Amino acid sequence: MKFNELNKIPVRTGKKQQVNDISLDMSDFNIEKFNNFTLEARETKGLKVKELDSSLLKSLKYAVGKELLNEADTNFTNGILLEIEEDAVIGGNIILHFKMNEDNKTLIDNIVIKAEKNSKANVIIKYVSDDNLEGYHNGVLRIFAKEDANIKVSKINLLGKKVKNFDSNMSEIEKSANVDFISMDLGAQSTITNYEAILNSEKASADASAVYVGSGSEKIDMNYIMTIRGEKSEANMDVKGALRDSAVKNFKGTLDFKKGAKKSKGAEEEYCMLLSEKSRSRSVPLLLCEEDDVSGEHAAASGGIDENKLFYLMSRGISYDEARVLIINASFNPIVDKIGCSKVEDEVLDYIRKILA
Amino acid sequence: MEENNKKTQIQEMDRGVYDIKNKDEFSYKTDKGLTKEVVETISKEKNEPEWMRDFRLKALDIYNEIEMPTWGPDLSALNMDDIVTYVKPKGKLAESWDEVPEEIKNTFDLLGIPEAEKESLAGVGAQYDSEVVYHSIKQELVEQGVIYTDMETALNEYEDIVKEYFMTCVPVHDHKFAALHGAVWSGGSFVYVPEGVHVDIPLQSYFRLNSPGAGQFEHTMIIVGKNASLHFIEGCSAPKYNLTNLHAGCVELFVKEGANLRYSTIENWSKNMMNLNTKKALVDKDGTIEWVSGSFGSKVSMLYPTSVLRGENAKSEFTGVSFAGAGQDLDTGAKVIHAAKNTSSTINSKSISKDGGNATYRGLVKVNANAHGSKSTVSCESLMLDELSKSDTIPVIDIATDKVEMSHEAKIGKISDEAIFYLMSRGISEEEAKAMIVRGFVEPISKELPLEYAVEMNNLITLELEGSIG
Repeated sequence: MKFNELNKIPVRTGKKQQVNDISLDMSDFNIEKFNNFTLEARETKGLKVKELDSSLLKSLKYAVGKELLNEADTNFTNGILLEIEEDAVIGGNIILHFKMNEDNKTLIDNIVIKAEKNSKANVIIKYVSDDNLEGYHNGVLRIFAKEDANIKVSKINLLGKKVKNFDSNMSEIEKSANVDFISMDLGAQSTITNYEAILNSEKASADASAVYVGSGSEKIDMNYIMTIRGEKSEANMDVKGALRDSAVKNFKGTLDFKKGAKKSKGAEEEYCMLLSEKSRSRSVPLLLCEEDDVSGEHAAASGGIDENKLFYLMSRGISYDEARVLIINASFNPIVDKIGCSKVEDEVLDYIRKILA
Repeated sequence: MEENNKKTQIQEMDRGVYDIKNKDEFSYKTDKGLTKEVVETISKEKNEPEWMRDFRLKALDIYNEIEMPTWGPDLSALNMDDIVTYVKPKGKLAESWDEVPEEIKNTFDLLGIPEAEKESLAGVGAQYDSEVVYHSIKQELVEQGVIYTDMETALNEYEDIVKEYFMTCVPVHDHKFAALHGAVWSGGSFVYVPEGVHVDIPLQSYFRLNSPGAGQFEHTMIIVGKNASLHFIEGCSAPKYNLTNLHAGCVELFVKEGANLRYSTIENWSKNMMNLNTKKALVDKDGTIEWVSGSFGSKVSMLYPTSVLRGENAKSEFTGVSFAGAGQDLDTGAKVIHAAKNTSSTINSKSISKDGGNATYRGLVKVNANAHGSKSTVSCESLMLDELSKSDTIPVIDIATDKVEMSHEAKIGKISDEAIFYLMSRGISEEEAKAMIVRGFVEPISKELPLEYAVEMNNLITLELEGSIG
């Protein structure tokens, strides 16, 4: 089976640069039931967990790919609707936990989060698997944040290194609402993720932060797009990652200011640490603009690990490997901290330590 | 209403001297469209050696095979069957200004070419339509072994050098228009600076496209020998006709060990021109290439000067400005390939868009696996003067080694109201305040240009702005 034209960027550029889209070959498989899912929430007042209602499956402009989106919308193994009622402030975290294993090796989760007016919640969606499982994950998440809602969603990928991972995400953010999207792309053999934030109304705000670590011959392709139409809106992207062995990463981040986005602001930042001579990092920070009264900026940087820091730590008796992990985790910390659940944060840091060892 | 009328008037007149059309007189013109016969005729007319004719035919085959770019500006207005490939102006190559045919001379006089030569240039070449009409070089440079001539003469007199280098820097497979260029190229400049020679004052060439519906395919080849240095200036213009003109030139620069080349361009094509130009430099050990580039006119431009840093410690610097007005789609930028150890590159790009113009920065920084210790800094800034315009930034960064330092920055925005208010409170009119800010914005580029060119660029900006503020 081959998937073509995945993660297309909003405007094309020269083919030779290999960033317009990505194709992926994989062996055939059958989609089976997935039963290893749990939901954990300390507080449930104002939270409703329902069966997925297909009327909410708004078509997505981007997603990872059309076929994958169609598969998730028509043939999902787990369809979940989370409704957060008007004015509800849900304390603690809502944790969705998917564990893949030999009996549950294909997961197609389709999740919709509907945050009503003035609501607040922190949702964590976590994927783990047995170490050597050859699994398949195709996830689709839609977030609808109504006026003044304040929603944080973290997607934590701690899958084993033999899973093929596809992940499409979208948020639609209304007036004065904020969606804070956090993605930890640490596992899987190949990870192709997409996130689109749509800011159509005034004062909408979107944050997207991501951490990735690639190892072995892993392929990571990330396509983040923020489309801003509303006035005085704000869009921020912050991506940090590290690549070891012969891992390859493409990060494509687009800030798209449409006509009408007056007085809106956008900022995009990416930093990639290359830990091996054979690793490869491609970055395409796109800035598209058809409105003059905006301010947009992006910055991307790549480089090896800071040798001064390394030297300092080693002179204090810390081993090379440990010093390296410390430096990398330190740079990831501001993003990992945003998850807001120390148990999950520790799992993330442990996982990073494990891949870097 | 009156205001509006005034505005239109200015826009239609804005290019002044550049829009002067001369009667379309020529001694030879190929048929419209592109066939094997046309290519063979060009080669025959020029009395070319057989290898060049074969090269052209091979390039034509490749041109027919390669598809049109699937990205970038809309090229649908381009109909190859309507573009006359080869137009030979009347008269022969002149070495003294007086010998140049009157009409052609008048045009270049108005553009200020001979004065510039007298005052500050070491040599001048001028191309009118497909052929070079005038070439001169200071005697002392000739004595030092510097060669500055047109490509046709070079092909006759320095055939070995041309054969060794021709389209090795920009291979015909590069893209469709490079192949087209290989098939129908005509005119252009050839510069050879021998080892250790420093050419202190700039050499200049000026291209002008006068025939309606014609394509200009000049080939520029510059070889700067070991530890030598050169500053080369290229200027381009064309009057406005309603037919779409095509410019698919090719610039190949060879910077040898320890050499230094500065290549400055002001492209001010008419606003119906499709400018699909290819410029590339191969830089050897310790060599430096500096690009200074201004893109003003044209309907569509796709121009990405490329530096291939293939020797250790090679350097490239790119400084560019583009200004897209009504109906213009300028897709410009720079590319750098780091292909050796300790190479470094700087890209500094500024773009301005107004009246519905579309300015795009498209760039590439590629660091190969062997390019340990390379450094690259990219900075792009875009200024939008109104809400009709568009400005996109499309950079690609591709890094294949860990021993590298790379940073990229881009900013987009409009002129701040506070800055205008401040200047106006000091008694400066709004129009002048905006013009001052725009000039300040492009200052890093204008200061890199020779004085006359800096003045020309400032005038162009003033002309471009007049139409937009009123």
